[in-house]
Amino acid sequence: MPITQMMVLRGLQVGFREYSTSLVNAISNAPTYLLSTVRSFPSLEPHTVLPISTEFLNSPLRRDLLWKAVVMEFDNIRVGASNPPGRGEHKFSRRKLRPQKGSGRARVGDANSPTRHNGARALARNAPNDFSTDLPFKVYARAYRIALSSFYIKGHLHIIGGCSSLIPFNRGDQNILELSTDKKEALEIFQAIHNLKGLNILFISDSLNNSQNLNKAIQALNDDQISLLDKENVEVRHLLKANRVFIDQASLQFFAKEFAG
Amino acid sequence: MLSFRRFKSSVFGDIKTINYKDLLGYHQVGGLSKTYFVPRTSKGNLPVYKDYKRKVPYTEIRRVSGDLTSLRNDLQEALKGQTNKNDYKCVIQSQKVIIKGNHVEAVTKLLAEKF
Repeated sequence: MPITQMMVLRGLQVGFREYSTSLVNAISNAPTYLLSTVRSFPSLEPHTVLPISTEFLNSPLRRDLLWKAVVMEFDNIRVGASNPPGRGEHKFSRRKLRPQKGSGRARVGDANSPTRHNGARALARNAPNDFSTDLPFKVYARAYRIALSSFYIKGHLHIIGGCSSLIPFNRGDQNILELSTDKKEALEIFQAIHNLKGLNILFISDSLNNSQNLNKAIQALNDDQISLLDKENVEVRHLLKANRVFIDQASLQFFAKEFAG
Repeated sequence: MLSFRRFKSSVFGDIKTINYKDLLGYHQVGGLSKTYFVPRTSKGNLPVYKDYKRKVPYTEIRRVSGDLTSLRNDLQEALKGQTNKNDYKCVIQSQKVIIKGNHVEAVTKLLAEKF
């Protein structure tokens, strides 16, 4: 091949986007969807796939935002019931502890002084004290998505739902978070089969009315590592405490509506 | 009702209309595991900026989605003659790569081949 032709071809190759040699791992289109598996409960058998936006379930981890969200949540659940006394209300008398001069030691007032051990509180408060803080909703919503995403990326988010006619349900299986019995043994078997012993498990249900058996079984098992929450009561701190999350499709759709576009 | 920026695509897609090339993991099948993407700005430019810190110029590549370190490694390889490996810094929180020195032109040219 003549050299000129080769040069032209090489020029074409460099100009052609897909054959850029320098940025090897670059992709020309960011992925917009991920395919999540939708499973039945309690066998966790896959039934269908659900395309979900990568912005919702594949956000990169931002620990600073998670931290902010959790701090806000804990601030907002504080009751603020303390009544620390000021120096006017404190138990000691107004008697001066030492003469002003002549003792050779520092000047003192009364025993209520906040500088003293056993003294009063410098900034006295009265209940109810409001310690609640604010966070821009955009930041909180993003923290929520990051928390869910971190579970999805690790493969620890199990979406329950799906009713495809192609695969019939196993016996005792349902497409909601519900057991066919309220015996605690059912949960123990569920834990054993899916290797969940000793892990913190969070069930997020669309409505607790639909998960009455599961609720009773959890109460009977009396394990503080297993919890069932209504979709409206879930906060970022609950998600971050869990090792595995089981969520039904309706709740995920609720989260998407609340915390995504 | 609280509202904020809408996603580019709806949260739950229709499996019948989605292109398989838009799926997460499509490039993994082709052997690329640590991919990254740099979107254009609303004005159609690449998000490559020059900044001065203590009179020292720095080049910033912002808005990177995907694997940041992978982009850094590729840039280090591509700009071998012009930069040292020590000049590069990845800021995970804001998803940007910072290079010491003014390499805006070279980086923009490089990124324009792909994005």
